[in-house]
Amino acid sequence: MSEGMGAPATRPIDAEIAKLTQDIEAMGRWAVEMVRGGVQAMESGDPAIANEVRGRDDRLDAFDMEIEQEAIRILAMRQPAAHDVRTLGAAIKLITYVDRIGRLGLDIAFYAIDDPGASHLPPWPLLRTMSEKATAMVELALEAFVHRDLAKASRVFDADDEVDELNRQVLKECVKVLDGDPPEPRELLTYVLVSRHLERVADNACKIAEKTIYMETGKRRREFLTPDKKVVL
Amino acid sequence: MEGSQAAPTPAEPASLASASSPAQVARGKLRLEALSAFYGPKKAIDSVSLDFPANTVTAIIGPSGCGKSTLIRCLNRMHEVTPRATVTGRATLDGEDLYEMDATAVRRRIGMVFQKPNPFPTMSVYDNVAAGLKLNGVRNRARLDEAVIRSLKGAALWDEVKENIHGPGVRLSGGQQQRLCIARALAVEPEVLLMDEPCSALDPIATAKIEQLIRTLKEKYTVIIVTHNMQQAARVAELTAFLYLGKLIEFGPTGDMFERPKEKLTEEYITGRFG
Ligand SMILES: Nc1ncnc2c1ncn2[C@@H]1O[C@H](COP(=O)(O)OP(=O)(O)O)[C@@H](O)[C@H]1O
Ligand SMILES: [Mg+2]
Repeated sequence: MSEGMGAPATRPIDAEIAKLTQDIEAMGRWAVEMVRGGVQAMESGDPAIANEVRGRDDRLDAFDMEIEQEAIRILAMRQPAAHDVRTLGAAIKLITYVDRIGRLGLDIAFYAIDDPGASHLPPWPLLRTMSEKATAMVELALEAFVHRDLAKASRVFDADDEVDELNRQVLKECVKVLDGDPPEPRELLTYVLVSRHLERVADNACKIAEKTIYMETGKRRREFLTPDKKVVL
Repeated sequence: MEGSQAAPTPAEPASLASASSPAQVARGKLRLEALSAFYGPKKAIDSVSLDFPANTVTAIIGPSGCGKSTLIRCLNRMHEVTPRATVTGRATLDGEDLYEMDATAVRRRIGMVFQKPNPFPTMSVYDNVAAGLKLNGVRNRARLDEAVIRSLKGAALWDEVKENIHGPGVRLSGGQQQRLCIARALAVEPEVLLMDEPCSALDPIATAKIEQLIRTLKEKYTVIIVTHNMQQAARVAELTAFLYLGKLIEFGPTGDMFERPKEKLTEEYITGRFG
């Protein structure tokens, strides 16, 4: 009836997208280290750690620019369609989220510099747990993106609920301590800010997972929501 | 119909009715219902059902040999000109069965532009455009003049040829010759314009001009363009149909097709995983 499709073609874009994906993974690790470093700097009060995080900012910017440039170049050169174009669209969005995650870590490092003793009040362990969960979410979301794994992407949203809950707990605890008119209210305000930052880290992880869902399925996250707002992929 | 096989049960044509609100979707200007086409025993088009809406550019894409040319040749009754070629199923224009109409009348209402510009070699620009009208018995000079000028303008060629309208058509550049062929098709005031890879012999600048023209033609006509160039489909067509091995695999808004095709075969084709 017609010529068959023949052997699968080798496409230059496959290697290019694979490289781009690796770079995003590396940028993601870089940004996660900034968040972990920021929280560690607070916990230890060690200015060297805070400065190490500050030193990571330029490379974070460079990652952002280089990956964006490469994604745009591939779009212009290959005129991709379907999964390919969705992947490049996701890549361009992802690096913005990853960049924000790194910057949130950077902000936390600055709080540590401003307030070196800020980890001895009772709500602190909640913040440490939040940090662990939020950074794990970013890692999970990036794994979902890199391995095109929808099951992992949907687990990111479940974890987000836990981080939101921790954020509420931190606020409640801080308010409780503040009600007792403590000698160091400033430290508690820092907690509130850090808590908010970590909650934003988790939000950005969710955005990464959302883009991964669109990349893989061509459908938006809301199309997979059950009536009780769970993402079922 | 001349088909040797029993006509299959007409299927509901693929249309956008399911994709958008009913108010937006006019019934297809041209409608295919389980259309199949044969060369002798060989089936080249396999039960294609499809609605081509009015004032819309629809692209037909698919690998070489998948039946694109055969399909559009069925639409203006050119397929049956090939010896032993047959058609089954239904094709209607505004609800009227094309295969119950007079073939000449069909070809007047549904014009065709071919892959290689094919102006009549011995004729002037003017006579090339007027040829179809003369064939239809129009002799009135004023009417011919009016139609020639209108068609040349409609094909975005008038400004380039008005000084030398009685010069030979074959002296024009490839792109101009193709627009001359479009003018020739427009002269008889068709309702549908079929184009079979109209730019494949043209350079990028001439191609861009034809594409620009195609985008304006849809204001007056229903345009169906066969193209092997997917970017061209993306540039000119609101709707795209993907054919493979004579079957309609997918049909829908061009943007959806390119960004999130529903069928794996479509994905593989448009991303160049096979060729
Ligand atoms: N005149 C013909 N006689 C027999 N087979 C034909 C004829 N024209 C086309 N075919 C066959 O019909 C199929 C579809 O061809 P065609 O419509 O020209 O495909 P396309 O335009 O998509 O390249 C092909 O397998 C081709 O070989
Ligand atoms: Mg052809």
